[in-house]
This record gives sequence, structure tokens and C-alpha cells, in this order.
Amino acid sequence: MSQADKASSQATTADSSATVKNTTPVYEIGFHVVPTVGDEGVSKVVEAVRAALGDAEIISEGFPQKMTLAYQVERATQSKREKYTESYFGNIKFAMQRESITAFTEAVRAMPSVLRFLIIETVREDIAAAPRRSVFTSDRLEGKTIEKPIAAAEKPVEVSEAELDKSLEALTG
Amino acid sequence: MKKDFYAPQFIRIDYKDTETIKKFLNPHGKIMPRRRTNLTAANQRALAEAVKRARFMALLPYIVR
Repeated sequence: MSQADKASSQATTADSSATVKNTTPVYEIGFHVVPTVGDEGVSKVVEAVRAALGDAEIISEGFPQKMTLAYQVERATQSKREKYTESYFGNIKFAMQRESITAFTEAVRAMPSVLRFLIIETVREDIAAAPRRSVFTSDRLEGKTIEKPIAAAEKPVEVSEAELDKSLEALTG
Repeated sequence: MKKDFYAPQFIRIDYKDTETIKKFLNPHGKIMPRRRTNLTAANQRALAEAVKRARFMALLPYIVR
């Protein structure tokens, strides 16, 4: 094979890999880790989730942060019901082949430290970083700063002593 | 004139962004109607989906008494 052929085949391979990268569906998993694992245990749970992803491309990651849940989440284990009012919530955005998602879902479901999780299909771009507008505003003054009206400066007027006394007497009666 | 909050972009409502989503909920935690939110039909549907995801993940309550 000549060098030109090699170069063209390499370029084709690069193009096809770029196409695969662009066409691979992007997913995001949001998950709650039970608070009983503690701050040290959270890292291990995240590692386990990452391991379950296998060779999927990780796009972004939000490390689990402790938060108070909006309502009490109950979970039935072998013999008792566990109730949680707080958890560590984290998320990972990744690109994975559509066929592998079911296996990944089952792997996460089997993790006892993951209280609840949600996998959604999303886009590669960070949607949270989109510019925002104010909600219920008028566009009448958009882009303008409301300025304080400028008052006309008062001119100093000279007043004689007699006039001042006269006006004071009129005021005091 | 009131404008669509998400109009410049195509449906970018993240279920994790609860502070923004809360602006479209009434004090009971119910989703406001389109005549109050001023969103496009597509964005209103995206909002509803984001709210339901956030509720499932216990980021938002199902009901506020």
C-alpha cells in the first residue's frame, strides 16, 4: 500500500470515528446515593457507576452533593422499609450505544447504595449553561438602565440681614 | 409584551435546575397554565416533563400543602 493510500485510509477511519461519535446517543444519569455510606463511601459508589458504564464516553460529571429531599423516599429491602429524607445527588452525562443502556440500567438497579436513579436521553451540549432571560418582564426598557432624573441646580441668592429678620418674624409670629 | 422564557433556544429545560422550574409552579407545586407561563406549546411540554422528572427524583415535591 502506498503512503497516499495509507493517509487516505487513516483519514477515512478518523472521519468514520467522528461520525460515530456524533451519532452515538448521549444519556444522562441522575442518581441518589443513600446517606448511610458517608462522605468516603460516595466516591466508591461513583466509581461503581463509572465501572458499570464500561467503555462509554463520559462527557461531564457532577459529583454527588448532600441534599435534603423534597419528600420522604421509602425503599423496601429484604425485611424492612427504609426511609430517607436526605441523600447525595450526583449526575453523569455519557455517550453510549443504544443496545448497552439496558444492561447499564440493570447494573445500577442492582447497586444497594443507589437509592433512586433516572436515565434520560439528552444532548451533548451543557443545557444548564444556556443564557437566561428574566421571566415576566417587559421588553420596553430592555437593554436600558433607568437613570435618576437630573434636577436643575439651585442658584444662590443673596439675602440681606433685614429681609432675613423680617421673614423669620413673619414665620414665628 | 411578555416573552417566552426559553424562546432564544430550542427547549432547554433541565430537571436539575429546580430554581428556574419553581418560577413556573404555583404555591401548591402545580404547573402553571400556558396563559401564565407564556411559553410556547413545545416549551410548555418540555417544562411539564422536567417537572415530572424533578418530582420523581425528589428534587421537587409532588404537592405542597
